[in-house]
Amino acid sequence: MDLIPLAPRARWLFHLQALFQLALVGPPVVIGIVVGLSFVTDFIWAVGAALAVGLLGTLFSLWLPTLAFAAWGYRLGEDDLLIQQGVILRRLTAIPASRIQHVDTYQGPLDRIFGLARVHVYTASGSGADGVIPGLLLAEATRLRDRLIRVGEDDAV
Amino acid sequence: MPSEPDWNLLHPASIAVNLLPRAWRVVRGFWPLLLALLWRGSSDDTGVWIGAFDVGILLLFFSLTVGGTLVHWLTLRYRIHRGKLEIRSGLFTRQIRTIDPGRIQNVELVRTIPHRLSGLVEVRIETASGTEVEGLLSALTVQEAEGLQEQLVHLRDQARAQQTEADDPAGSVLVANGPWELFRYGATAGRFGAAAVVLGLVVEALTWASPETFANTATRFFGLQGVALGIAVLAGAWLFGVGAVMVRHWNFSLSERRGALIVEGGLTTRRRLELPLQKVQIVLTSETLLRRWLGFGSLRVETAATRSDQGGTERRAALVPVVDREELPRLARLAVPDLDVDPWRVPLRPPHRRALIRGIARRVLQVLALAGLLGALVSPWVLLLALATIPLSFAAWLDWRHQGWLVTDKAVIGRRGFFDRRLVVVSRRRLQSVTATQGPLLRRLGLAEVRVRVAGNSVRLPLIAWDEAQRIVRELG
Repeated sequence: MDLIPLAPRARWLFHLQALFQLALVGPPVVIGIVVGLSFVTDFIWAVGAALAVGLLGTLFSLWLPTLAFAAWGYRLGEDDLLIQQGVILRRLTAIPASRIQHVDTYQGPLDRIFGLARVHVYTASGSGADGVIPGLLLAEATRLRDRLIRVGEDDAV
Repeated sequence: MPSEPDWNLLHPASIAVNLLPRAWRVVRGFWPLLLALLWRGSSDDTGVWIGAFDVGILLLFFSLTVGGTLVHWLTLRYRIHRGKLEIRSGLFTRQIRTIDPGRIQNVELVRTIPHRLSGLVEVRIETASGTEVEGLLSALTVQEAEGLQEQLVHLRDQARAQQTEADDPAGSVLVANGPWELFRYGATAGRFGAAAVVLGLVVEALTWASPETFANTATRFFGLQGVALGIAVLAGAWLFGVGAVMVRHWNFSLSERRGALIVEGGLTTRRRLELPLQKVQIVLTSETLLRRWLGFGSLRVETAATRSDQGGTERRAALVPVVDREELPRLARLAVPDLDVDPWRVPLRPPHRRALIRGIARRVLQVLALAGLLGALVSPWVLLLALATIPLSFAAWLDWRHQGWLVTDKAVIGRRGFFDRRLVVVSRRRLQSVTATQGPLLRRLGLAEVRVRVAGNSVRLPLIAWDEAQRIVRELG
């Protein structure tokens, strides 16, 4: 399936996001493991286990963004939008263009650093955004949004 | 090429109008902190609200509220551009929301007390998506708000003008359920769970109130007396279930009139539900084993409703308790006029054979986990529960064997279950999105789960091969 990949610089965005998440979640997890295990084993073993988990988490955080970037892809056809994503949980979504209710574009602080934007596509399914495409160049995100927002044949609700 | 229209701002008085609601939101968001502060203060002899820390917290609340209100006014812009409403907002994360007037369900003008005092009005624009108001313009002058409302409604009506609306002459009653039918439905509902809960609560209350009396009484109910008590409780629950069905659906009728299904019924509260056929999203039939033997099933028709009081979209559903099995295809076709096959007669496509492995594995693991836990906590004899994996594996096979799915030119059909056979029909015209998902276990088995979303609900098809799932997603998209 010939899907359009994300902008190459999205890879670095993913890495930065993963590092932020690691910095936010890592220390409490490591401390929690040390405290929790020190009740049942020697302190040194608890620290060792926590460091091992921390190391694994770090390696995973460094490796996962590359895989996630490679897994993302989208294609805007005549009548639909196809989005593929996910490393652990692989997902392929199709959204008929005529069902789109509204489209949002977001630019968070990190997105702005890289000149990127996210597109959120909503239908009437009422379960949040049916499709999200991160890591698009701002111009591409705007172009995509403009193409997606068009009057459909029926409102299908 | 026409020049782009200018962005419009909210009225400057929106700062004052939004201050109170925003302050409330901030307090609500930080209530644990506030509570901790109050508790700390009240436990102190020198009184509440003292010290630099407390002042700092107050200043934080104040600056969050005023700052947020100012940022909201400074950054929110709106305009109608190329026939669509665009709302721009956000300081750090800039967001442009584009709303197609054709999708708008409702444009509401709201005047709270601050709005009345300042002579302004809030505009709420709702589509059928999400669980919140999609477009919120918190403070416009009455003239601006009414002008915007008029423009949006005009654009919406234009977009909808091409849609045809069925306007059938008065129809007739399609299904009528009298007391006997309702009794059959209630009697086969199997509502014993409520009895277990009530019994548990009574036992708990008696144990708490008078443990000795309860222990003495309980010893008298071992053996035959205990069995009799159990049967009496179950019979009571069964009778209660039958009675509840009678009260809820008394004198039930389903009719079709002017392009809508009309459902009426109820003894104490008489309900009348009107579901436009054009808005039907899902038709679901349920035929339990017992009801199949008795020759009937039940039918549920769902539509996507307008916004609820809580601010989200909610689905409306009509249940037809008793329908002769022979009548089910006709009613399903009536509710989904697009349906181009008879799902009860055409052979549906089976799930992948490896889906059976997953079905059995899931049941076996559930039973083993439960048996292991209870065995460790209660008695090793409970491990005998593990023997239940044999009949449960057989049940998994029965379930798998009766699963089916079909994607036709007009509809998506899914069928599940042996003991409670459920068939779901969705018109492809109502489909909002389709997703194929594959977790680690399914990837090992080469399977995927396809979920078809309609407004307000979704349908899961039986597990199929990943390649097939990809093909379906592309076909339905």
